This record gives sequence, C-alpha cells and structure tokens, in this order.
Amino acid sequence: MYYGANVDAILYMGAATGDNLPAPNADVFTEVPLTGRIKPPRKELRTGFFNVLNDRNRRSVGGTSADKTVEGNVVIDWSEPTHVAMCEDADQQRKRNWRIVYPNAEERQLDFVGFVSVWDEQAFEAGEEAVEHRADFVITVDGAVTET
Amino acid sequence: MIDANLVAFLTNATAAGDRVHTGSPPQNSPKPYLVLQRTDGTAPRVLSGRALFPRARFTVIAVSRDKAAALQLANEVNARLTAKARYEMAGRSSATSVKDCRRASGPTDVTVIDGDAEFHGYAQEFAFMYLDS
Repeated sequence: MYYGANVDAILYMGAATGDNLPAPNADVFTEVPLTGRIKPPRKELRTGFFNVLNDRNRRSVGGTSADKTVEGNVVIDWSEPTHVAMCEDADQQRKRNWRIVYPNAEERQLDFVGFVSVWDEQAFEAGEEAVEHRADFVITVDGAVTET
Repeated sequence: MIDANLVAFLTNATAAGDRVHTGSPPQNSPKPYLVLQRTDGTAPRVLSGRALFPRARFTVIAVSRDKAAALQLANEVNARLTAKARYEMAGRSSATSVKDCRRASGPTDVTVIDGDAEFHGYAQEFAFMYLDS
C-alpha cells in the first residue's frame, strides 16, 4: 500500500560505536526524536558508455555503487541524548548502526552503518517568521544498505 | 488557552481598561476599547507526529474617540505584546508561555465615518509562537 511522506518515518540510532559493530538485530536502537526531514540514501551506479566497432548505438555498463548519504534535519533539543551524540559524532567520526523505518513500518525499513559527517546548526536569525532552531545533518553510509 | 490568556494579558494594561472584546464588540460599547480577532492558527509537527510550538495570529483593533487616541492605544498594545521576546501570559486556569511575538502588519487605519456614526480605529496583526500549559 502506498503511504504519506510527511509523518511516521522514524530515524533510529544504534547504541554501539566503533569499527566492529554488532549486527543490527543485536544492537539497541533509540529513536532520534524531533526529526523534521529524512532523505533515504540514493541508489546510483557508476556507468560507462562505449561503442562496439562500427555499431552506431551507444552501449553502456553499470559499475560500482556511488557514494551514499542520508540527509535530514532535527529540531534541536540539547536534553535529547541522541542529538548530543550526533553533534559529538560529527567531530569524532564515530560509526554506528542506523535504521530508517518507513511510514508503512510493517513493510519496509533500511539498516546501514554510517557516521555523522555533517552537523550544521541553522543561524539564529531575526526573520519574518518565528521558527524552532534546527540542525541539518548528513550521515555518510559505510557499506551496504540492507532493505527489509 | 492563548485566546483567553491574551484577553487577560491586555485587560487593564492599556487605556482601554477592561474593555477588551473578542470577535466583535457589544453594540454602543463605550470607547476606548480593543477588539481581538483570531485570524490564523497552525500546529506544525515533526515526522514522528510530535507537535512543535503552535502558531497563532490575532488582529487587535484599537478603537477610540479620535484618530490620535486610537493610534496611541494601538501603540500601547504593540508595546505590551512585543516588549520582550519571551514572556508568560497567566490566565484563570492555565498559562501561555509566549516564545515569540511580533507585529506582522499594521497599524492600519480602519476608521469608518458614516453619518453620525464615527469609528476611529487602528488594526494590527500579531504573530505568536507559544506553548499552552
């Protein structure tokens, strides 16, 4: 069944850190609260084009997977341990298990290892509209993304 | 609830005294007086469905016997509502924590003179980000 894109998608952070991480089903996951946006990793293959002798039609071949990242933002709450951990991870290149549960939770979730490579807090700005303070983040994926 | 607490916050805080009305004023209401009208309200949420600070907009019309007095009353209202970035509005049974209040538009002259009837007023719209408790 199809589903809405603006509610009920949840980002989870694994508790374990380091280069040797437990399998996702052996890790403890905590919801990252106040998440305003999650962009699942883009699937892309590097491609090459070539011609075979005098064949006028261009041929192509798919190669390795392109770099994968997960981008998003959170409404910052410094009393939330996951927000503090994401901010610290961006300094320390700490790898973790991450999980994205889709709005149709029974049907699809993504598990992957990654580290927070960007934690970018928005400016304090006396603009037209009152807004909560948010941080944009990027989680760089290390290895395969498991879809279940 | 911000609506009731805003009335309480403005009551006896300006030259209008306790003549702070919501929606529309009673007929032949003595001047000066204030009229509050809610014009907009939103409750943004994050992906989990958790609500963020609600937003509301109110138009406050300051009415007095002449234009100068109405404008002065409007300025009093603006000073009262925007003097501080964050403040509390206490009500009878609840309180509203104002996280941000800014004048979104106005003061706009809404004076109407129709025969013997004279209505001198200035309207201002205020945008609130708040939390009710």
